[in-house]
Amino acid sequence: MAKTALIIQQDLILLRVLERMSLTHQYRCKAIRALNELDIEDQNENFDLIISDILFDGIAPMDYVHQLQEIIRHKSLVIITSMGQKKVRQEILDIGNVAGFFAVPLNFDKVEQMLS
Amino acid sequence: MEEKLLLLIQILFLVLILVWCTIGFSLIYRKIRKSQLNRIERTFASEISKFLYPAHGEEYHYLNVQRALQAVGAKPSKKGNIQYLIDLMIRAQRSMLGNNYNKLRLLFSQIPPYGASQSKLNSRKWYVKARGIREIYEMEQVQYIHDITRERNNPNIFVRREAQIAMVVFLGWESLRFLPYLKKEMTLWQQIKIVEKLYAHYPDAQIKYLKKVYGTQRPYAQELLMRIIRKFNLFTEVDYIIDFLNHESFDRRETAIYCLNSFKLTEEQLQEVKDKLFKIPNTEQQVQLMQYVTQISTEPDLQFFDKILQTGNDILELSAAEVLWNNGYEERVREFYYSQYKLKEVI
Amino acid sequence: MTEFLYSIYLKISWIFLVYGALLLTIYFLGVIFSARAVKRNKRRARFLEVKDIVSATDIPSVTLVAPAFNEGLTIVENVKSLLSIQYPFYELIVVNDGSKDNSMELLIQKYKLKTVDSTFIVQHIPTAMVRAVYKSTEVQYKHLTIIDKNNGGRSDAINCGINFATTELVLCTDADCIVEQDAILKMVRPYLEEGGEEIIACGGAIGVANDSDIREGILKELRVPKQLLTTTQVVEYIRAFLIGRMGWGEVNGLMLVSGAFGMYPRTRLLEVGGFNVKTVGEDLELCIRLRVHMEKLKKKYKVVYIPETLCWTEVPHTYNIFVKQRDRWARGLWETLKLHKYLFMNPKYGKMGMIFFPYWCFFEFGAPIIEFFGIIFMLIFGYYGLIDWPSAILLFTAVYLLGCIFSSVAVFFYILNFRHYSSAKEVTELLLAAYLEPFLFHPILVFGQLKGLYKKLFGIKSGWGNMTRKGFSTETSAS
Repeated sequence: MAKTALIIQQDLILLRVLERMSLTHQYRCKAIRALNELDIEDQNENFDLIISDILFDGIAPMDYVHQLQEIIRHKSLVIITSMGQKKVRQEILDIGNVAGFFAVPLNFDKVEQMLS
Repeated sequence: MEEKLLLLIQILFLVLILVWCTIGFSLIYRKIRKSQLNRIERTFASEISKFLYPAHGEEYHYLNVQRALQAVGAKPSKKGNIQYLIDLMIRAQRSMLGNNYNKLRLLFSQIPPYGASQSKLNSRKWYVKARGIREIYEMEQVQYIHDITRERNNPNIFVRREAQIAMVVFLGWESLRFLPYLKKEMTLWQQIKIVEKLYAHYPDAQIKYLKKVYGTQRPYAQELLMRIIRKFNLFTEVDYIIDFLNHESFDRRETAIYCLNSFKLTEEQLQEVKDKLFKIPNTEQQVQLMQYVTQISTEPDLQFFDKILQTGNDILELSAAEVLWNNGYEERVREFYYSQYKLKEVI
Repeated sequence: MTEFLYSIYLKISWIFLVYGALLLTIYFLGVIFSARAVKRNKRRARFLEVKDIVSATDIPSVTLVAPAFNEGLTIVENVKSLLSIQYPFYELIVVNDGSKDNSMELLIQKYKLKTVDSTFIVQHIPTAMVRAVYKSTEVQYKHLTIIDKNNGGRSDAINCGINFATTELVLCTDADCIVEQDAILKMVRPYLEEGGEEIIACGGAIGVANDSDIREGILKELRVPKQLLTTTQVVEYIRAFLIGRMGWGEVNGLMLVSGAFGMYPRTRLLEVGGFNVKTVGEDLELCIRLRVHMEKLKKKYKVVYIPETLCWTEVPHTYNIFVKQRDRWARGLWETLKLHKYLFMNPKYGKMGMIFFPYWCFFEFGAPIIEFFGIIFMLIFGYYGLIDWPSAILLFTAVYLLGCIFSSVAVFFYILNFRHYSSAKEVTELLLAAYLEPFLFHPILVFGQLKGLYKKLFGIKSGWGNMTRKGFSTETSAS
């Protein structure tokens, strides 16, 4: 059975490239631009991987990561964001259970390694 | 009189109708334009994702990308759309590193627009020229470096800024030798961009070029050098920053304190910083430096804090007392304040 | 007697004509300057996009200070909304200004707050006593600091927040304001592009959010308010910020950065001693004091405005509250102008003394007085049959049309440059409100201003007044 990935990125270019990358690695992929595009079925899914940004309307970056971990079942969470300063990275990693943190611009090869 | 007023009313009414028409037109135009641009963005994102990650065993030809973009209106005859496409190209290229970055570079050299940015360099309008320079360095079209270098002292701040950033992108550490000769000021954003471009394109520091410009007296160049030392974590060059801690300029001191914050110091350097703290003519900066000293010291230097408590500066004294109190020296703080009370009583 | 009266009538008519012509010229110049400023601002923004700033490392750190008084009903949502502002080096300080409701309990419960040792509080600016300082125990709220202090008024609460801030810049707002997510990223732009002139204050345009769809402290959908009073204030705000502030900003003549949304360098705030707690026009007073301070230091400086609406607020929805607000603003203006009267025509302070301050005295402070006397004189001279009514009516129509043009141009500038109010229906509603403004809104506004001035003239004591708010609707757009 194919692995499942959830990609949440506001930037359309990043979203499509990440989606395509996941598909080529035989992932079943759901790509959305904001959390409110998720439907009830998605919320019952246990995703193998979530790749998400942290900048979304109405929620603080750290609070977002915290809530994402609580609301959506998943095995691994990777953050890809343009707000990737050392300080932010440290704060996000301090929350725990974050498998990777990549600041944009990023080398996609490293994300691919996580996919495979 | 009445006739003149009537004429005036008629003219004003006409003007008002004209404003209404303009509003109506801009509302309709915006709606159409927005959907056009969205279509181009969607197609661009989808096409470059296919190009970067084609289906197994197939190569996604660049002509497919070109045809798809032209089908949604991104063709040379539509200048506005082409400009938007260039912006999207830069956005995409700035999101990626490594293999994908190289693939995109190759793709963007194969599809139109060709040479659109270079033609902007000759424009009289500052925003067109500055934009052209930006596009050239973002797309790494190094062949135009000579045209760009000419603009490094352009009277317009944006043209100048983009030209100087371009020089850093194309020439790397060597471009720092221009610093002492740049005639105009450099904004904070320009410094940030230069440091970031240097870090992204030339991550291995070449200290010899830094040392060559240490003698510069240009304020912005001094600040830029401090920021470079900070960004590249150049421990061996920290003394350059420490020298500015008690500089006469508020801004130079502020940059020095900010940049010093990311370093740990040797005993000698720490002592020098402590000595310089008393020579800073601004309380707020003294407090900031004291907090930094506390942060990098394993134990509070009691002699140093005692000296601060004797400065007669209430804010500084209170800040020192706060540090001592929070580090378990409550008794020392009590003693200090009791002695103050006693002194006041005697007086 | 009639001849004597007629000669007075002529003289007074000339005074009014010159005053009106001057005011029109200023408005006209304002439109030209603001068009230039908005256009340039838009062009410049392309070289410093929000996306670039959000990923940058050496950008200045910012503390948002939000005072709160008896806002228990919305405080938790408001703090959540303020926490969600996107900026990498961001701290939030909420100052509970001695609320008598359950604000503190709610905050402690929601954000898992714990007191921190505050034995030593370094108070650069003296304020009412701080009872306790709280930090959250939850890692995701580590940027949040809540200060619980005795009541001392809005200015005192902001000063307290400034004392506790450790960042380079301080953004002052109100806890019940809705701040756009990328507001700070846009507000720091002038500081990043600062050249030889130091930016001592930066303001952002404020918008009207009455009757809009607001959920959990976030503006989901902006709507044109339902009432004429509030809709007219939308146009008034657009005109004031887009034409007025941007125009004055172009000649570095800004004397006011709104208290509801203003950013300042912390060091400069400490140097001037923060907000003045003794005036109700504390924002205007601070801005003037900062300018005076820089003039004394002989340093080049700038006060700037961002044309984009970055902060949304609820404006008075009844005439009663509206009058109270304008009464307070008029008193604040009186107090500030009196406090800084030494600036008037004082060449030592350059353009500020010779042009900007006198403008405030003559046109901001003087306008309601002139209007009041205009009506009085019209009644008197009308009674004596000295007014040529057909010409007067035509002149009034011409002036009215000019006012309509100014308002329409302001609305046009807004929809041309920003994304809000983009449907034909919304624009029509705004324009209609603008055209009705002189008849249904302006007289009430002048009444409120005159009431404030009357109170100051006769020493009638009055504070902030009870500013009852309707509270933002939390219904969904479908309802």
